[in-house]
Amino acid sequence: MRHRMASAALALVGVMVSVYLLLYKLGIVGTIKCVGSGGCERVNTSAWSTIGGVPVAAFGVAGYLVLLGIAMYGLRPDQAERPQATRWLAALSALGVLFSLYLLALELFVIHAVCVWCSVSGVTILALFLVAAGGLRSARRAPSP
Amino acid sequence: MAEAGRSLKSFYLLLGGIAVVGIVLILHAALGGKAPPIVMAECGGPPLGGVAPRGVVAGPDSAPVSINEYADFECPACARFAVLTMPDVLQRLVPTGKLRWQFLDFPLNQHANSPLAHITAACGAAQGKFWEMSYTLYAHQDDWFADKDPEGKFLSYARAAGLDADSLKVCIDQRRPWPQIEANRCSGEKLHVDGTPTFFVNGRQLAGIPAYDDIARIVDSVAAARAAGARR
Repeated sequence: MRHRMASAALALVGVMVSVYLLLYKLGIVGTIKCVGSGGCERVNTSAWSTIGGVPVAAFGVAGYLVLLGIAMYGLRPDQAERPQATRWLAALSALGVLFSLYLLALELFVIHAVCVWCSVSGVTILALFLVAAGGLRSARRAPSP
Repeated sequence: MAEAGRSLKSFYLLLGGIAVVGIVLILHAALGGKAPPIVMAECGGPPLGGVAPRGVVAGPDSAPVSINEYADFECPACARFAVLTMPDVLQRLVPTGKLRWQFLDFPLNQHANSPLAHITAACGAAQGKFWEMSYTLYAHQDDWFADKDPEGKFLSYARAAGLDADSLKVCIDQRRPWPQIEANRCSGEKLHVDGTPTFFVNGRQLAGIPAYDDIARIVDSVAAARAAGARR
């Protein structure tokens, strides 16, 4: 149960960070608070900040909401002993980690600017994956009857 | 069982805390520290704040041909002209010394983001980079015209165009060039400018939007007529 709670809390942090980046991308938040000189703005106004016309941050919001939903569903008493929610959390967060690595590579080698908020999101999804993977391991060690 | 209940309760408190902190921070970022609103004044009467109209100039004052352009950064026709024609004007015609080009602000009422774009370009002029800032604002027009607050994007374009974005932000937030922009707009209203872009060649309004070849022809013919007049 604990790892699902931690997953839900991390997913909510991810939702907040992604919403902030999305609001900036949509021009609702005028300037973005960022460490360094303009890396967040450069990354979030670059050609790689959208996929098929949809802001990357929107994918982040959607992805974290799905993870939050799964983690909350996994907290229901009837799901406590079932491993499915944890499996889904681990699988989807693994995809999220890969996507974050792809975005980080773009920042470092193509855009040549680092967006701190994107890195916060990357660390969040990595932590979520580690928590979910830890949950899977402990479920294997103590299989449900 | 009671321990599980307590643990769930603290979990929901934690979730609530994250949500509240996140929402407060986002609202603070969206609403806090706003620069003063930009208000368009009524034209007529004495010059606004004692400021005389003065645009951004390329080319010598002694040039035989003087073209004044009244333009709006949010107008699509102005953007087409600025991106397709203006680079050639600046690179091929202005260096001949035959042409003096003056950009005069004419932000239209119906274009919500235009005043901020004009302020940004004018702040760019204070760094000696008006034409670079103007070009990039026009080139990205589709990306910002519908935004609620495009300042962040403007700063990003400025940085990419080689401007000092930090001092630009100070200039933008203080609305420093706004009285000059208003004076320029009102000078256009006085000349009955009712659309953008509008061009005046040596004081006479040009019909339509000229292509580069049209401008080159005008410059050559007026300069030749001037030279012939001087020989007589």
